[in-house]
Amino acid sequence: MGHIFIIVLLVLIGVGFLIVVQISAAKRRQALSQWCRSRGLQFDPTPNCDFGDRYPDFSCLHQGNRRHAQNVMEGRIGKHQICAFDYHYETSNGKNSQSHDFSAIILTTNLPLKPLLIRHKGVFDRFASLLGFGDIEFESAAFSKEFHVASPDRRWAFDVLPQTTMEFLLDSPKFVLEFQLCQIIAYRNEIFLPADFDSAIAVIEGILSRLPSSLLQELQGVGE
Amino acid sequence: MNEGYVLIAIPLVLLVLFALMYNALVRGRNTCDESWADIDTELKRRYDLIPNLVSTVQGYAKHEREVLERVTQARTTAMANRGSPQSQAKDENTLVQGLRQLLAVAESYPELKANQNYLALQAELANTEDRIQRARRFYNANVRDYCNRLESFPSNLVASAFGFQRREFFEIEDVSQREAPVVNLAEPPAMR
Repeated sequence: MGHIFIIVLLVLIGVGFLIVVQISAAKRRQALSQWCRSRGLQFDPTPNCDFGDRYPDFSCLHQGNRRHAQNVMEGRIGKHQICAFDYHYETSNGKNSQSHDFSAIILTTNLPLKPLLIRHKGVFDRFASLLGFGDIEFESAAFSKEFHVASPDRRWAFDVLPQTTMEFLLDSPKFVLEFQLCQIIAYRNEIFLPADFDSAIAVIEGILSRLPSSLLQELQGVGE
Repeated sequence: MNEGYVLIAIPLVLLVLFALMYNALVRGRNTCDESWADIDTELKRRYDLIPNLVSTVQGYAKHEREVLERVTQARTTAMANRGSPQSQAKDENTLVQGLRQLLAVAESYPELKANQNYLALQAELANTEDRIQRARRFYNANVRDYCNRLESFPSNLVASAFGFQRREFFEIEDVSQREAPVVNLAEPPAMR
């Protein structure tokens, strides 16, 4: 009798948990759908397992296995094509598997950008910096202390990050920013609220609007 | 037997570390040279613009001979300079001051300000200034990294043993930058 009670209780807890998950997923879909409508974007809530293939250069979309994007929101905001989404993947170490979920936004531009990674420094980065290894150091001590910047082309990193952009990023919300040809992704290891998508767009557009005018001319010359 | 391995391994590890530090210093020195060459290219671009700019202004402002001659002279001096970055910077700053005066003179001639050729040259000059500042910033970053290696332990030992020399920073003014007004803080402003 006691065993049956425990099993029924566990089943009820499981069902309750599933209901809560479904309700919160439905609420999220509704909030994102509303956000899309207010910005004139298309909203597709269905999971898409091939989504990462559209962006082969962004390593964050090719981690682990059982990958899929959902709640994909696409369209134009201002001058740029935007694609915002939630992303799921799983990692395993033999017995245990772990789920990872994050949100991201990809902005497509007509500028032929080069690879560049900008993210906030973690403990290991700070330790590596102390030993003189790791990222590109900038003249702003505050920026270099806070941000890890990596690019195969050092000059490109300096061109994209003039003094005004460094100051802007120091005052902006935290995102991992990755540049690839004509595309920039902004993400962090958590699910965004609708307002976070706006912040991510603002950060990317803030960087692009602060590109030195001569660099912009060079890039537009190449892009044409 | 084990002691024999240790005796061989220690000098081998030291040799590898030494080679890595030496190569990093050589790489740093070469990067400084390359980025200095970029600055040189951008400065040449500015020298090439100046004769056209001077002749365009001359067409409208014949009475400003002194300013025009000063710019031409400063350009000749800067072009002839083959010295250190600091000495080059001194000549470039004289040229920048001359160019600022030239642009200020042009402000007093509405017909010149409306001239399409002058406007195109002014835009090209602004673009070139931007390129110079980008190249300068990258050069100074490379010099800073290189000097850090020259002064940090243990690479400073390798640097001094092989005579690696410090490089100078390159600090120049921007034509578009205006000088800050001098504010006298000693006297309180007059009350109205």
